[in-house]
Amino acid sequence: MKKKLSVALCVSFLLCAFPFSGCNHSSSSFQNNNDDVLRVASWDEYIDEGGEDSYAEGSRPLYEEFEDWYFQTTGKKIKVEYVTLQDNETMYNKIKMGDHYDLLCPSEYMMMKMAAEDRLQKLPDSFFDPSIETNYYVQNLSPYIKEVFENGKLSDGTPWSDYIAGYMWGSTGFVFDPEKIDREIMTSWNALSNEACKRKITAKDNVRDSYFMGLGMHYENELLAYKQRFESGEVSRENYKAFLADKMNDTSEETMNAVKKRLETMRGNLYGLETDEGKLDVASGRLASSYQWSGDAVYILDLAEENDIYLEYSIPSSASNLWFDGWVMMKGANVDAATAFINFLSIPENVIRNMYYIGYTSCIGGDDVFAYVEETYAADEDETDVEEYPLSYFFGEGYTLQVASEQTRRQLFAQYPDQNTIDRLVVMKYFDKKTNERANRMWNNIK
Amino acid sequence: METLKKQPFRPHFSRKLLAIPYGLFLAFFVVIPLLIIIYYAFTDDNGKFTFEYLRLFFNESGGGLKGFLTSYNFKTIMRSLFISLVSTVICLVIAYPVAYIIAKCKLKNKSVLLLMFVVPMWVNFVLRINALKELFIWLGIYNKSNTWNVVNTIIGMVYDFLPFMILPIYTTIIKIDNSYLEAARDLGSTGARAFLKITLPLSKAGIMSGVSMVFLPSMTNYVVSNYLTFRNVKIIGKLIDDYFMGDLWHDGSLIALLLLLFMFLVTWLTGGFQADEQTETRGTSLW
Repeated sequence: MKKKLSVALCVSFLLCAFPFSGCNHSSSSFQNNNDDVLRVASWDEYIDEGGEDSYAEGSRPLYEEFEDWYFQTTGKKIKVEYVTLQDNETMYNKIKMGDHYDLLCPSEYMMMKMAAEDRLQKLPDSFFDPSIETNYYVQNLSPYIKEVFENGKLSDGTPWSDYIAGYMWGSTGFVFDPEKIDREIMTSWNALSNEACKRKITAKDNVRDSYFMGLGMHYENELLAYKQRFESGEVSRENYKAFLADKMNDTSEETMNAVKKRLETMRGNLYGLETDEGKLDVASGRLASSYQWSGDAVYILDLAEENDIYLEYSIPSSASNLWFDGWVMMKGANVDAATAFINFLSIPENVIRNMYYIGYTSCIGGDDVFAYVEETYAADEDETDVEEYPLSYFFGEGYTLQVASEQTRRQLFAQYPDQNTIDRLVVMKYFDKKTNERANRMWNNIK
Repeated sequence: METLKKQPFRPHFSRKLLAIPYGLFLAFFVVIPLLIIIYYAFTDDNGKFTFEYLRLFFNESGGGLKGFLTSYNFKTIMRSLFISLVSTVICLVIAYPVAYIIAKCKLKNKSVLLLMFVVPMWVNFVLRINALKELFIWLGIYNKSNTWNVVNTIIGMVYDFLPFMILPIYTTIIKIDNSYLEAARDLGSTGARAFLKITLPLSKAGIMSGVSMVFLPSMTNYVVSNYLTFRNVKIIGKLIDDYFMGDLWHDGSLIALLLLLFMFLVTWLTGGFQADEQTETRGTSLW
């Protein structure tokens, strides 16, 4: 009997092992009172790690170079412990279990959730003083991101910028092969349930992206009608933005039921769901289209070019998602070193190194970054089909690129959408506990 | 006389001490996690005792038994059961003859033969599943239809878990005392009859171990179904994962617990607990 019991216990071990996996590393769950250590948690491949693939070939990882830079600028020694996590939910579960980090790099919705739960420390006033020489972040931050962060409010009215320093940003949209699917179709959220895309399109396996897609399909006509009123000058930009934000964050019972129906129809039309593993299928030409985050879209487009496949990126014409990842400090963080780390990453040459390495778009603007973008995307001299591509919203008045027309639908568009597109990007707020539960139950019963 | 009493120092050592490492392992990785699961399954966010999540699992729609039988959860359970039953049966059908042949073959070095079946396990599992995916694509059966998706999942499960079925069966067959078979032949039994009356019953313990090592994992190993079907086949392991990733730990724990109870039930009903005790005395038990 004893022996049989051990079989049974082995079986139960298999079951138990996995929910428990969220609890490892909790040995480090002490408060960081040690001024010599900076604990940073971020994502895989989300900082220049040096070596051969770096823009500065043969260099060391940026978080290691920071240690030298910090010593040079402040005369203090610091050791960076750089940890990478899988996703926002894992990050949240870790700090919920008591792990302590000085700096975290959550997405906007997770920042809001952490701030609402009073887990974060505000950035100090001195961080926003442009007269301090080493305050690279505030000196170089794009005016567009600055505006978004100052206008975005937590539920208690605090602007987001009090807590978060932007790192990378982007949109969501469709990567598709224009030879296989009509461009016109891919400008609509309903591509997801369109017969023309049947078993040719994929979506993301997570509740937030799915809910957003469902809202996009549900409200598409209403949003387009309002957009027309905005374009004809009938309603102001503020009202238009507020309308979008309102509709694309609607989680009322009634709307959620409508979204559920949309998602059910969509599910039957999809080729499948994915998180990361679908990238290769699109890049290899096996799949005609896929819903993606802009940074991944750039990666997929680059990869597909190697196979002589020329994919495009489109953002639905009614509305789409504006997302960003940024640095936040946990309560009890080493403020001096943490803010210095953010500033170090905002030095233009480091911004360029990161953008080159990661493929995402930095929240930092400025001349040097613009020069890098120009170097990457400016049209060749022998290019005949050239267009002006103004980026004044991001870099400031007068910054315009001369690019090959195709780039307005490809990597450049994914990295920096044009002004018209920017107007219809919406930040999706975090789901509170109750909404999160409702949304998850709804989505879990579909996929 | 005094000097005789002086004995060399011997630390007091009892065999019981050998159980300490496993005891600790058991406590930290089995008992405590299990208690945590039970705690989460029957408490709400405020730590209050509740059956709410049990009710939600069986009766989310509020339609009673009929509601449950048409619910998504029920379909997922049935799908998982079907996949893991078929996978287990196929594994058994393939594994038993293989194990039998290896155990009975006249080769001096049987372990080499056995190794051939174990070596594939040394290649990283995700890599193997991805290779299988490429093979399916090449054959044109990848994500072709829902039926193909289920078939592909089963192929993946069998591919993945076959060694777990072969090994325990092989171990029990090889331990069977040949004199039983000789006696049977002496008394006039045919080869087939001797197999049915002696080899098969005596290898039951191996079969039961193999079944329990294939049946449960193929209900929960959603990596296989995710990769091989583009997430179009959802099994119960994925259901649990979805609840945890959605920050709904209570639901996830409850389903994990139900699955555990279900496995106990299956083991008990199939006589898994007794089978071993019988064979234990004959020294053919694997555990």
